[in-house]
Amino acid sequence: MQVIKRSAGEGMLGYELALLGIATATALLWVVQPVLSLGSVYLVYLVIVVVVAATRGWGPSLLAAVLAFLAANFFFIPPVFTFTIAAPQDILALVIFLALATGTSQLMARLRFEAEEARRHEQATATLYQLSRTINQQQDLARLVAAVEAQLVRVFDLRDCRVLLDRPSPSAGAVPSNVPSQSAGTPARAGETRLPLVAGGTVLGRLVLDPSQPRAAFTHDDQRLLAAFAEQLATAIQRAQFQDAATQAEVLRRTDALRAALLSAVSHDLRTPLGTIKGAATALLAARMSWGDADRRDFLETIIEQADHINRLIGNLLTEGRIEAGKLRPQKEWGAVGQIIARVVERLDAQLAGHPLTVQVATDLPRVSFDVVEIDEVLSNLLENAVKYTPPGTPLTIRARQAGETIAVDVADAGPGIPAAHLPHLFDRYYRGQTNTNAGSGLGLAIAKDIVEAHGGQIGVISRPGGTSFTFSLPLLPVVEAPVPTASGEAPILEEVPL
Amino acid sequence: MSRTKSILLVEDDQALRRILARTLSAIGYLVFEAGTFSEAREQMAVKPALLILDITLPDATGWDVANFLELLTNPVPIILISGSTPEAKQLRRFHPVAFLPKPFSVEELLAVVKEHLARPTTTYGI
Repeated sequence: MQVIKRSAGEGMLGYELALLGIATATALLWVVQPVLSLGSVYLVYLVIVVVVAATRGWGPSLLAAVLAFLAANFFFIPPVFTFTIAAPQDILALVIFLALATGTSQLMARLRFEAEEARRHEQATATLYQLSRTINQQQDLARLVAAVEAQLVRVFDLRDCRVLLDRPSPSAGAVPSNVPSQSAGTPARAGETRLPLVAGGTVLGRLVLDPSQPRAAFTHDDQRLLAAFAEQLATAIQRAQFQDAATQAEVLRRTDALRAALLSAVSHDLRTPLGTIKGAATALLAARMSWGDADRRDFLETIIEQADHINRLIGNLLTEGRIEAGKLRPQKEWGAVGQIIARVVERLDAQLAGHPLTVQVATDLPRVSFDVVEIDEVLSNLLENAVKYTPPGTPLTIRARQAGETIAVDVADAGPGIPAAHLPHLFDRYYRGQTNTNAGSGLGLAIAKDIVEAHGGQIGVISRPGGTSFTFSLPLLPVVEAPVPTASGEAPILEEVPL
Repeated sequence: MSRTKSILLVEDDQALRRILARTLSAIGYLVFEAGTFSEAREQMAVKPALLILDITLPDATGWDVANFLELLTNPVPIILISGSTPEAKQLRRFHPVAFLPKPFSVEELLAVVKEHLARPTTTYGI
């Protein structure tokens, strides 16, 4: 739809209709002339002039008035078939008719023009409103540009429309556009209309409109409308560019804050076991102390455990580094999940000492393909979390079972549960549930998730006051996608493993 | 120096707490242990002569423990032990007699304990 458009052919049609109307009226009046007075003839002609004025405007109605004046004189005022007039009162009547006809036609034409103006104004306002809505609905620059281009093509029936920016958005290209990206400096094609996009005295780019028919230029109203729209668009683009810049700055700020938080958490996590090692070693060396064999052995074992703890922490950081670099490639081997559970439980024996532990591994559990080191890390992280966040003495359960085409492993505790607000972010990198305490680096669960997913499995959590259960799955076949593990799946046959 | 004075040791790392408690007990102090704020509150039935305090605890901060103890009794000397730097505001508020950043040696701790338990507690105020 071109908003306001009237073709030259349409204008000529008005004059043709005026001619036709007067000719038809004259023919009819000629037929019924014996029963009509001259006054009736003028009235009929006046009606024709008014109708033409109302529908076709000033020019055609003036033509109709003149034609009616001539036709009345020629056909109906004696002597007929001449342009002379015998009676002086007929001359006066005819002059009055002409004045009335032209006056009426002018009045009607003005009314018609005003009505058309109002309609044009209404259409323009509606179009501008529609375009403004498109602008306001989009905050993102790339989406805004794409939406405006599509809308202008539709509203103005264009062949093509492009918003060319001098400084393209960093996020441009996020939304696929049917228009190849060009800079504002691209030379104009024939028939194109280019409108500058200016906001706050700065030229941001150009709005390029390519009409469907190269010769069809925009009307004056269209141009006015487009200029108004270009102004709004420029403001919106500037706003979106500011928004983009603010977002970028916020991302940088958050990344810095995350790094600082991670560094602080990691240094705390490293100092805690180092503190224990130094405490144990200096206690053993203290000149005034005379320790018995059992104490000495206990202190030495503590040193070894804490050294292992530091090693695992460093392992986590290295794994995280590999994950971030996209280098996590599980070295899978066929193995039994039960064996790796037993291995991890044995290694974490000292840490688990304060919690009664039950391990349930389903009988005839199929062997599965996994990276021993990485799944060890997943289990260790889950168990260490359970110990860290539950009161001493509360029981822990490790369960391995078949769930569909996967092996599912649950690590469940009987602790206070995780607040619902934390659950959606639990596996997010650097997310720490408790920020005011030694809640760790916020990497353990993120790493566990990445490792499990690299194996084609999934990890999830169910938590309520009275207990939390983490479940991860490993696919029985080494496929990329595994079914979602169900913590409340069908009851498998379980075998109690005494510890 | 009285060897029967009691010490409340609040440290969430079980292994370090065990080593410190055993060492202090071997010297002759009466040591009450707590791994959390709530455990520390339970151990305050006997008023300690000295508080050895870790700042980061699972259920609260060491400052909460100090604050709670202050409500119950006269000021008690506090020895801070922590892997992180304590906030200046809290240091001004509670005036710990010493801050031992982790890792520290038991000799350092014993020296500070001996120094402050030998003096009358009433000299330590805010």
